[in-house]
Amino acid sequence: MIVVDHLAKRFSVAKKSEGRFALFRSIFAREYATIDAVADVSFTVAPGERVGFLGPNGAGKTTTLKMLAGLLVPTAGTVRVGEFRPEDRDHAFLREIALVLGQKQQLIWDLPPEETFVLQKALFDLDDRFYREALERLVTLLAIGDAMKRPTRQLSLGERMKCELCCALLHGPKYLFLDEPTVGLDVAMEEAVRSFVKQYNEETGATLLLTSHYMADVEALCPRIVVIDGGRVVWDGDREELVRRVRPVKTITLRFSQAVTRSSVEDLAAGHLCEPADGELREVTIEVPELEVKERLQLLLAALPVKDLVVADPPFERVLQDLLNAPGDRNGKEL
Amino acid sequence: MRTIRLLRALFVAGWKEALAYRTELFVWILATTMPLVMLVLWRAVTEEKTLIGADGVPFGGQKVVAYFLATFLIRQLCGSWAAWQINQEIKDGTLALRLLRPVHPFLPWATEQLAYVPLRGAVALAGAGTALAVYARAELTTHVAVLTALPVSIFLAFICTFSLNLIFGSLAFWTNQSTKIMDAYNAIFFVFSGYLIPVTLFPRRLAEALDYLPFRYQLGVPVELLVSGYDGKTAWLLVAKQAVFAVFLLAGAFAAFHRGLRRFEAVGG
Repeated sequence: MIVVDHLAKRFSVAKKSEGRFALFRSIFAREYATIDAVADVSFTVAPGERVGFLGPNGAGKTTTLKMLAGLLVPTAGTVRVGEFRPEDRDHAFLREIALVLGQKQQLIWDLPPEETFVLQKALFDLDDRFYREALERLVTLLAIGDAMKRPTRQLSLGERMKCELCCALLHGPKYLFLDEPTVGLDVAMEEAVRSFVKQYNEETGATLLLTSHYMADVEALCPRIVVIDGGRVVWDGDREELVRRVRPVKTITLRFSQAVTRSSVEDLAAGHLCEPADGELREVTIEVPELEVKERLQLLLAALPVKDLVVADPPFERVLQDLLNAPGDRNGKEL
Repeated sequence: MRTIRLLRALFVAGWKEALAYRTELFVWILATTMPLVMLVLWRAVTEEKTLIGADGVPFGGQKVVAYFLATFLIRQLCGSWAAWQINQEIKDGTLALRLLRPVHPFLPWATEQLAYVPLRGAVALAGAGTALAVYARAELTTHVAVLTALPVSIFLAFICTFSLNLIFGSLAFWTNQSTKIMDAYNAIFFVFSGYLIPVTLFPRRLAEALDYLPFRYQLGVPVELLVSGYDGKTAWLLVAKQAVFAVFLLAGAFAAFHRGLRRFEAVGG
């Protein structure tokens, strides 16, 4: 169980002074500004749960993850991960967690990843059998049999990321903190990493907390999301519930067998036409209130030469944008 | 048992990395050849005028050769660049990844530095060691007690240097200029450690004052044990003083690092 209670982290940042003698003055009297990276964050995560941790740039997501991993000491509030207080950095605690930072690597640059794996075995004091089995399972799941024998510097970004994941999970952590694990990967590799993470969670029951700018990661992995903005929680709840409350619509994408005029679609879409375009159309997307989907579809199908159609939830990015732009108390539990 | 396995794994990884960076290693060795320059310089000086050391023994001829070859050799065995490494890791946030491991980061840093010693030592021994044996064998100690103290002293010299590197490296938690401070310290170290000028040639008062400063214990003491003809008692007394400094400096390094760690911002992704 992860329990975060009124967590806050304040950083002191040197201010750049203006003026002719600013540089000289700053030597003797440097001015600092304080920034509340995390202002007041509270949530709990049950064992085995997969939670997406979202928010705009600078919202405090990574700072919170780093406090959960014991890398940063909170300015106020408390964190408990299992029976541990992360900031104590107890070795038993470090054996139970893994933090994967998508833009940082722990693999030794000039050696093949398998050398880092062997080192990891010694660092975490893994017995031979546990290590062999864990490595075999991870290598199979991630398909890195060849990559682990080539120097890290010669690996593609995707191969490196998969080897990083393998390295981070060798010791069988119970708590997995992933910060942008798919950053820079191509679509196929993103999918491979997502399915691996999901399988790992299902097989081991590890608790997963994920931050990502790719909503596809969150949609694929996390039934529950916590959204923070300005260092505070603005939503904590079910992902689908968030969509229902913030943007309770469905998107209908229609493809036509022959081009239709914009005006003919516009009348039927009743003002919900997305991405309006001029001239003749071969494809349109319409946003329709959930309760009107059936009725609207019947009208569209009857009046237009529809070849193909897709009904889906609105893009999650848009839902999140609506949430962040909405005024007032947006907490999922109280909305 | 776990500690041995861990040290072995850390050392092996460091050794393989040292092999991967062997070109940089040779460049580093070339950058530490100042004692060989000093050898030529001091030879020229002592040919003009006989210098008498604080111990009353003349410093000239073969002794100059022995002293500076030993200085070059021992510097390869107890040098450290941890301050630059720590400074970089704090600034770019990669220290975070070390902190996620259930091992104190000092241990991997130490073994990474020590893993380079065999390669550096082998290169230095092949050159300076051979020259010492050929040109200045008579100046090398043969006293068993001193020879026993020598490896201990070299190890303690490494601990002193490494600890100071940890302290200066840890300053990066507070300032962006920690490596500049280390550079400034090293400038003083080169003068007072015996690296450029043998401590025995300093004015007596200054030489006595150096007993209470760390510089000599980082390099001068093991060099002196090898070439200064000390008896066993003197050698072990110096090693004992070195041990006190090593403990003091290592404790200082722990204090500086852990105090700084509370300010760590783990910057970047």
